[in-house]
Amino acid sequence: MKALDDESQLTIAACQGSVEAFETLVLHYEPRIRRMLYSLTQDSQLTQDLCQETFLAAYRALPRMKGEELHFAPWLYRIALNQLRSEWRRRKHVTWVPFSPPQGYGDDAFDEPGEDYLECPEHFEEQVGQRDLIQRVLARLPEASVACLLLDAEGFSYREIAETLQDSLSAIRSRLSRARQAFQQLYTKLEQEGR
Amino acid sequence: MKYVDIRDLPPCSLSPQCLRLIDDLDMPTATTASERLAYIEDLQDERHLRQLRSHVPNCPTCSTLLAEARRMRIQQRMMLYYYMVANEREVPATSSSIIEAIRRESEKAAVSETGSSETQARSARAPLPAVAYGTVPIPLHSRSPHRRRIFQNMLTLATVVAVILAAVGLLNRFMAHPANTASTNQSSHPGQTSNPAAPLNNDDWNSALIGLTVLSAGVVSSLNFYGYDTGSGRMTTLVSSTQTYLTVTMEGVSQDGQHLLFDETTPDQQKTYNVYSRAHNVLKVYQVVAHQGGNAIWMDTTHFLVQTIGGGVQELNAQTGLIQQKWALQAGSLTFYRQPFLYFTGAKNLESGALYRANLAQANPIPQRITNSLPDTHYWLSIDGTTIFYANRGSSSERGIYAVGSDGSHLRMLRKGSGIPIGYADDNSLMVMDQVENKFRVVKLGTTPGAPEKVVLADAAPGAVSLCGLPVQTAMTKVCDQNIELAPYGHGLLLNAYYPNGANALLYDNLHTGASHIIRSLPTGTGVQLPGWSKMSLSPAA
Repeated sequence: MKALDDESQLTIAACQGSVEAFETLVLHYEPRIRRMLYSLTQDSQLTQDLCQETFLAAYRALPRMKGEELHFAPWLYRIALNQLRSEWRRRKHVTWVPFSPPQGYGDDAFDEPGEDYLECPEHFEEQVGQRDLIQRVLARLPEASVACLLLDAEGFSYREIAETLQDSLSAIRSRLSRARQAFQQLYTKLEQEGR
Repeated sequence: MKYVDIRDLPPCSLSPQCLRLIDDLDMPTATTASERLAYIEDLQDERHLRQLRSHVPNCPTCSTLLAEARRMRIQQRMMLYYYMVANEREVPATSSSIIEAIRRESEKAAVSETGSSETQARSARAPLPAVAYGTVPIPLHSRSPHRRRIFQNMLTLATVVAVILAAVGLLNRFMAHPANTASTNQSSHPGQTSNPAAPLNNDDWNSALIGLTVLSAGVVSSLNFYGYDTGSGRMTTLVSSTQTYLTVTMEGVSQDGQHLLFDETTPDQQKTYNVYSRAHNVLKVYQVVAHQGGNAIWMDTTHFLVQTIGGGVQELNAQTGLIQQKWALQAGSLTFYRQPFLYFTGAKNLESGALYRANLAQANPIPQRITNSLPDTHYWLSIDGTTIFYANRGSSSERGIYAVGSDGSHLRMLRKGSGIPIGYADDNSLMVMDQVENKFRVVKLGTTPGAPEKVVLADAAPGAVSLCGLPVQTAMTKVCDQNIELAPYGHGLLLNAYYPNGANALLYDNLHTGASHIIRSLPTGTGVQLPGWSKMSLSPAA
């Protein structure tokens, strides 16, 4: 992911207690975290809450981190995703309240990377901007797959995605590959249904 | 560009690996040391990668597959990136509130490190937070510097706790219970009420409850209840739902500050009364057909009263939902309860919009009228329970704030003008919000007739043009009860303020320091309910 020019220095300074350095990081990453969280929740209020909790949690944890070794972006995204998971777990205990963590078909449905998904490559043309359709597709994918796709779209490398999702590189390669195919299949299916 | 259909090509067993390792294959072979380490992490993948690098150039299937996969990858990335960018615009930025919270936390940490005795003294002198929605604080003892020693001495505190807890049983019988209703305009205003526990743990009344609902096509499409911690500046989600409701109303907070009473009406016309607590989350307590159920108010910490059509007024157990008692009262809306009187606005044969009271100690109480009909007026019961305050916006007599005995006697005007009562200060004097020269002021009235009033905060919502809604007419009322939530004992103020650019936001004013913070800007179409303050612990562990 394209980082701030002086992100390493800012991270070190923030770890050493510089509020100003951390504020610079907030200004850079808050929109990114916000769009990631909203893409996963579709809930504006929850997104604002989680955004705030993410940065506050990061701020509180920074003094315990080694600035020289800390990869700030994956670490921050990891906090955000953990906050989101905690929230979903917490909501599961409120029995009367329906909530909407991503519900999907699971990875198994797309385990074998087939070749037929490339049957109609041209239909991806002219589809950019169809938010509703994308939203419906993402809602049917497992959360980890959606996170993989979104992090990939943000410019994260495999290693950064692995670090964020705390998984092995090999697992991330497989998951991202399956997620891309699943996305494509669902997108095609839903788009055809909508016609 | 010539497109080759993959189905026309011979199958290749390595195709799945090509897709899986596409990003690695596209990475330059002369990679940095750290990137190389990434490959080495998985030797099998590295072996596959080496194999594919030599295989792909000679395999038309894999070459075609990879070419199409690259094309798809670019398109997907682009779609998802623009999707996220569009999503970014859907949510108001939180940077400023985050930075503000961090600065506050940083300052707090700095102060705490210095261990300044001055700070400790200032903290100990902080006025007692008042109570929750629909109650009137009754101080059990005066607050003095001596209280500092009480808090510093656990033994003394334990003694005080024991004494006060013993008194709670008696005082419970003399408490008032104002009600709240964001959904109706005749109910009483969420405010402060007596709470026997409050003087014990005055510092605990630090979380304001906030309800945000997203309205779509005339229904509530999602709701979130929050607790705003004035200490940390954080908003914590308490209840959240994306279920569709016709209405959702936060009715009020119990006297112990630990329970929120709220009701929701579903599209199948069922109205459910719920009690939320941190310990038990949401407990469905009572359900009726929607048109039969009215508003509800807390009676004490374990019982509440519900106004029902046909059933009069019912007392319910807040844990079991069992009906304890019923009274055949023609109430439009329940306002507050103070043993033994229930205050309510009239309906049917009673004068609509007028305030009445009825003695619930009697099986068939006869309503006694307290005020004339005053539509859109919120009533406040004084700390000692002897007086009712309200604002007359000019509908039936001169505009101003009036006081009347709780038995309907001795009606008098306290203050002329457009101000409205908003609660009580730590010395039990009435607090008022008014608008002067486009600024919203918090004013404390004198405790005795003729005593001068004091401006506590000269500009409670800097830059805001209304506390009601977007002003479409200059003459429109700009101060509305339902968007103002004064903390118990008047230490802070939560507001829903509207700005000239059409935006609205939740604000917190510290009435001790005069600092004003925007805690949340709100997207268009968000409904706001401010039911009161609580003692709920908002720490993550809670």
